Amino acid sequence: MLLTLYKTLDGDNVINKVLTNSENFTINLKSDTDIRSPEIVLKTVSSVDYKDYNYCHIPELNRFYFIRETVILNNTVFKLICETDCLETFKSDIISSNCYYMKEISAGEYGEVKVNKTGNQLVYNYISSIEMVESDNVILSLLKGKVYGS
Amino acid sequence: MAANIDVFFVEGENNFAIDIMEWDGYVYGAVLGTIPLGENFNLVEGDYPNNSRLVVKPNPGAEVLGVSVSDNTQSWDPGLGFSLVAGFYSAGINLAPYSTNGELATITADVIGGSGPVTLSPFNVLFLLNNEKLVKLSEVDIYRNTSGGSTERVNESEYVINLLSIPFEFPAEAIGPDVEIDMGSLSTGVIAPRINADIVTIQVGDITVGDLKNNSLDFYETTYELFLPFVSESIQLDYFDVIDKTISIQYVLDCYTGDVTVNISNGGEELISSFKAETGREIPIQLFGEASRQLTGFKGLYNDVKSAFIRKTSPELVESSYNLVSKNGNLTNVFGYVEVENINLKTSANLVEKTEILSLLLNGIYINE
Repeated sequence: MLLTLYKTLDGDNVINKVLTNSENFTINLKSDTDIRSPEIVLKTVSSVDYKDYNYCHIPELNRFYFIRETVILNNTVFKLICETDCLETFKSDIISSNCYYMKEISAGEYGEVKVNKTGNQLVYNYISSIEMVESDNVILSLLKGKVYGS
Repeated sequence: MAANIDVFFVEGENNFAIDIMEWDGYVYGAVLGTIPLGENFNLVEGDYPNNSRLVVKPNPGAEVLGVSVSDNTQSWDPGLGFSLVAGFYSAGINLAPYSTNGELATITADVIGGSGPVTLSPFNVLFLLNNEKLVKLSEVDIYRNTSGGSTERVNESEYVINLLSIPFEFPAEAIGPDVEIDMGSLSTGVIAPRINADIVTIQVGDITVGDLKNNSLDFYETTYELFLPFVSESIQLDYFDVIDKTISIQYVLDCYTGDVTVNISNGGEELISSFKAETGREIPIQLFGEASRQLTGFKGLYNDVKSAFIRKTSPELVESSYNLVSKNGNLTNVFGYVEVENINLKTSANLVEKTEILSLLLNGIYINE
């Protein structure tokens, strides 16, 4: 079956990992191999340094794997200890499933928020378009007409 | 021949009528119209009868504040003494054409009308003073003849309803023409502008809150507080009244008391808030027959705040962390950091893998584009 080795800089909790330096091999797995955590034994190939790879894909098993350890068994044989990358392997299932989630907020998005606060308060003043002018105005209100007896 | 007739009106439509009468009272012609504040009115050129009488009549809702005439040709002596007769200002005037070459005379009348609705009580009159006019008024000596033939000093301040210092400039549109201040039968000789209305609207301005993120962070633990010039009260505004709106503030001033109704709107037909506040300071004066006058002090706030402003207070967020908003649905076209709290996971993964997926989703994942 086909084994493709990759290098990735992304973390374990990333979907749509960026995979580079692909290298294909044809392998045979032992009959008692755990497909969730396979250990893959490979012969040395002159142009390939297995230590440069940390990720792999076995299409026949429909799985992506993290290479957790690379063990040198002898001068000509390496063992790759792998673990299923569940996020990448089942990403289409995950992405298409309905869920209640929280995402990075951006413009136009409203709902409950979860934020990290520094503990400080920000204060902004928004000023009116009109500045009232101080004055010495005095309003004199008078009765109009005559007051009887005055 | 030309004469300038200055007629001071208040109020709006069809605010005056000028009847032109012959000496025997026959109304030869009449002019009816609306004169906006500060605009001129030309009495039309015509052949007017000799020794006519002009009667200046305010229409309902209007008031003639005064009438005067000047003759800029010196070709005739109007000899006018417009007097108030039966509620109208009336005067005799020689309107006969002063024609040397057969041309008709031209009469020009400058009519100054007020603007805005008249809310002035018919019982009262309001003047706008400044410190200079206030000093002049205070220096008026008041005497009258007694029945015994002697003179005595009297206090005409019983005509004074209030003397109210207001801290802000009075709106020009509510200020009428200069007229002499009369207290009852006493002409003080002090000229001051009359105030056209006792309820005056003052625009305090519009405020738009900018720098919005246009998302829930605009109101998360955020307060919007409106502070007002010369008014001690501040008011908390609801975020939904502020965001994406322009807040407009208006004072409605009671010229007798200094009380203001603060009206706050945000572009809609209805006010979002309206409340009563106090401004100004009653100037203590000795009133006739009163032993003392109570001091009221400042009724508003004098703190050098001359513009209304909205104070937005919100928590400072850690920029390097993620600020999240809740959503429902699937994660198609969702990118970046995501925490999934509940998911109806449809997958062929085995139980161990499902458990791991749920744990990863709960703790947060990144979805690259």
